[in-house]
Amino acid sequence: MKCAFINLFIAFLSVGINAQSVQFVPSFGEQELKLDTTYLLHSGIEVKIETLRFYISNLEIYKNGAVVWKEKDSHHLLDAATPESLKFPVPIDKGDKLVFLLGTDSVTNVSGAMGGALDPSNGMYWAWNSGYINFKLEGTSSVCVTRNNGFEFHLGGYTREHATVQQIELLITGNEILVDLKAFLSQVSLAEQNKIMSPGTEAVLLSQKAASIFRFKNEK
Amino acid sequence: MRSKFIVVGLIWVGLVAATLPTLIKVTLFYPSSWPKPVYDFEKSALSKEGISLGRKLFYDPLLSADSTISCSHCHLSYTAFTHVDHDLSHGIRDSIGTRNSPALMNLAWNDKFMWDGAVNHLDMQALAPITHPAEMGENLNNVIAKLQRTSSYPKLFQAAFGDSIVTGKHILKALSQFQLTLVSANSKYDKMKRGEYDFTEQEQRGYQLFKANCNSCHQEPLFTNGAFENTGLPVDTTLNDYGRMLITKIASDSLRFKVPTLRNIEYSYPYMHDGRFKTIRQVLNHYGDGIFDSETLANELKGGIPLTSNEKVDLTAFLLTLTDKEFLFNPEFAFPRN
Repeated sequence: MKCAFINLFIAFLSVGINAQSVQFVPSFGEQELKLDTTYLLHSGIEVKIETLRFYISNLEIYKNGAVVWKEKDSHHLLDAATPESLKFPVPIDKGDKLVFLLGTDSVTNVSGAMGGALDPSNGMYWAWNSGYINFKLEGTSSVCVTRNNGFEFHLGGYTREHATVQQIELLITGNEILVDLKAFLSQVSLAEQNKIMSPGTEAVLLSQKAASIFRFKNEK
Repeated sequence: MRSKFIVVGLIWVGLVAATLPTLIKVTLFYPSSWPKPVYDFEKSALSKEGISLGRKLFYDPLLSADSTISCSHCHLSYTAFTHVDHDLSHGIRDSIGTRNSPALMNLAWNDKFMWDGAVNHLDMQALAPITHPAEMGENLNNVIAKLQRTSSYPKLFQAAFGDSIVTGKHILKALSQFQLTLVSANSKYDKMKRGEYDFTEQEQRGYQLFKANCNSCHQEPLFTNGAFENTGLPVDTTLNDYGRMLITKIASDSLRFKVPTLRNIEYSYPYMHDGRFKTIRQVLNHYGDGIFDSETLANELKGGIPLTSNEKVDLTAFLLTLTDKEFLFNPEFAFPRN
């Protein structure tokens, strides 16, 4: 009896947690992404993703156009290689729209040393041109005429001219959000553009493209 | 169930309270006539423990890849925290950098760091030399691991930040705390301002020349306006350094470098971003008739600053009143012997 009660309690707890969290799912099209695995981007172009890390911040939930929930100290560093970094509590049932930033806002970028997800030891901070790398994607492709066919996109920059942070608004239709790298790479000509390592116009344009690849899984 | 959560919560709060250290608060002293510091002390207060940890880190070669170079290697306390007599910075394995290591003082009033303003906050400045291959050539995670392994540092981090686990944030905050204490405000010039010293006639003449010719960029009382200017130095073709433009990617920033403070200039030679001038006289001669004209040249320097030989001597006499021996030889800033 006692045992059954505990089981029920655990079941209740886990259902509760599932409903109250958001899971980001790095994907290649509809397929869940596997790192270091070859995918066909389009005819004849193969790609392999080795690293995907990005910041999600300032999460908010809206209901009928009004904010009903706002996360405090909202900064998450998501890493495709670390499954537990991709899921965190968000009371998704509370509203109809999820709003967040891809990246870190300009205030965060000029506020000095911070801990946790924002600790510069996480490898997402530029030492020689202050600021966070908001979105980091590294891999290889047969079309890249580079060392080991590598491509590297380190997208960051917070000044007005070179702001890379992007606001994303998604109508809530579940709790799994796809981060579709096929959609990103399809918008990039990898043969010509395969190395962005500093703030500038190119980083801004690519960040806008990166913002377009987030969608709820069952969204049409 | 609810009470269970409350109990757990209380235990947690209790643990945190037990680990929070009692800090000896430190207030930064500076002349009341100075502007308000840029550094936000409300968010990051100074403590004796934090400063002392920062000082130990500043002098510790463990921060470099092969444990040979500390911050103080290029920033010596007795020479206004610069690498005196070296035009370009030195690093591990006899690497030579591309710029003159800047003097460190009054950093709480700086909003941009490095000659090109690449760093936007004092906390983040140390990351640049620590990770640069021609300087300390290390990465922050190795530094964290090395410090964690020592017998002394975890205790010092515990004392300063209430956590014996070393983090990037706490390393950087501690280094900031020590560097923030490097206030130079006790030169003859400062004493003159406070009515404790009378300038000689020559120093006074030099001060007038300074106010007429230099003060727009080297603004009192910090002797810098924190801006970036092209001072008419022809490009050194062995370095091809275009300064601020490399960071902003804006053409009008070409050849602009940060206006350095003139405080303690007597001790901080050589001068300019690439250390090309060894003496104050050479700098004044450059401003006299050595200006290389280009599109981004500072307006104030168009046509140069022609001074007679006597005027240069007078101006130099004034510049020497910016030497602050109490700052230079303050035992609190030197290598920690205990």
